[in-house]
Amino acid sequence: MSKIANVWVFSDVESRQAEVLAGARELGDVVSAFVIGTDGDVAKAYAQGADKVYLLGARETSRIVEDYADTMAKAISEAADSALILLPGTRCCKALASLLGVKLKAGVVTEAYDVTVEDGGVTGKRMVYGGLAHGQEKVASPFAVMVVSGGVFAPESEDAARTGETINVEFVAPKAAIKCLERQPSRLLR
Amino acid sequence: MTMKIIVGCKLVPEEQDIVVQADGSLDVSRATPKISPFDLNAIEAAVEVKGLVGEAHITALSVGDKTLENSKARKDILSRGPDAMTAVMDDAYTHLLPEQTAEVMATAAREIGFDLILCGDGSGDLLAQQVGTRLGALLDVATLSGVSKIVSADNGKLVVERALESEVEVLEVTLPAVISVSADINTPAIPGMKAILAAGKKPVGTMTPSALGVAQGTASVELLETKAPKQKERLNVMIEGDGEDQIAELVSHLRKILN
Repeated sequence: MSKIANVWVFSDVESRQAEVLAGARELGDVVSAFVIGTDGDVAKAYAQGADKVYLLGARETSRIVEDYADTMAKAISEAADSALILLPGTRCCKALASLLGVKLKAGVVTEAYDVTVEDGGVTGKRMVYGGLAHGQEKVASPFAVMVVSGGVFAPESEDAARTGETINVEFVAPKAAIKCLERQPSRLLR
Repeated sequence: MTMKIIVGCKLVPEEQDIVVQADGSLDVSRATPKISPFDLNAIEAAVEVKGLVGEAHITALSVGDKTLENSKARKDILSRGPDAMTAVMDDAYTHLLPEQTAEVMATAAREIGFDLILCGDGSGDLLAQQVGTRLGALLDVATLSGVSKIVSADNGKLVVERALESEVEVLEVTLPAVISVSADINTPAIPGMKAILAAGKKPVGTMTPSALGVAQGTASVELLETKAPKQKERLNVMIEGDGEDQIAELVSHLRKILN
């Protein structure tokens, strides 16, 4: 299996970051992680396998994750002509995938249970027709966005000594922002 | 002021009618078309928003092939609350990919005019979960997916909730916007006889890609194949009885498979 030169990852859910970073290392040469948070979160991304961290600033409670789509698209397109963006299948990352799909003119595959790179192209496999069949989709565009299901990649063991280059990214405000008025604990956790 | 609502509505093949052929490919040609289950939630949400704002006009927007000529399917859509329906039809639209569907819907939505577009989170066939969000991005308006509750609605704003993995966000969305709803937002009502009879009298407009001026560009994703998995041979292991030994035997079989 060949490798992609540049892979970006992001996870809004902390517990899913390690697996996409492990997947990115398997599929790509240079692994960059978008991080929203603190220096501690940046260190965590390096420990889990990131070569570079694109720091999007501290967490803002009134902002939703998708509001970073313009910022991410700008950072990616300025740094590379082609790339793979690997995201876990969380609610926000699925939405982010489609937004990046439009902004980067990228092919998007959601809920992939298998991702392969061959001849520089990325192929994902996913269930279709309510689980009746497997679909195989190949991304033909220079930028590819893959949203992977849980368990596709096993997290690597963390190495706290790892470090890398941190790039501070300026926030690009979306034209139509959505305001988060309140965050309530999940009903399932209550 | 009347709020203009568009609700995305896809017709998908009834899963039970899909025939898996010997080579694993699917034959959907004899499958009855039905409204994609998530879109039933979107239609119900549109009716709910209409109830909250008082004055609203709901247009069901469907993109697809000749299947959309099916009068039973059209009536089914219209009996659930939309005031009118617009079908964008073309023979080439049988297997449209999400990005292409979003492109066609964006062009049609601009033509129809809208304050709010409601979609289901995904479709019953491909479940790519992209169309609603892509549509919002193409139209350059606020867009949200996974909305699980509509808290309030007026002509300029919507307050909604969406359930994330570890929290629930209460969000204020300024219109125009595209909102995709999750399956747990509501329980779609079953249309009554009066609604079914009235559905036949509601206007249905059709649009063609050429009239809309939408050209089908090259897709950035190629669907290489859709194949049913090979059925595994049954091992036909029967364990009779419910004693300790039989349970241990069952566990040992399960262990063998798992390892």
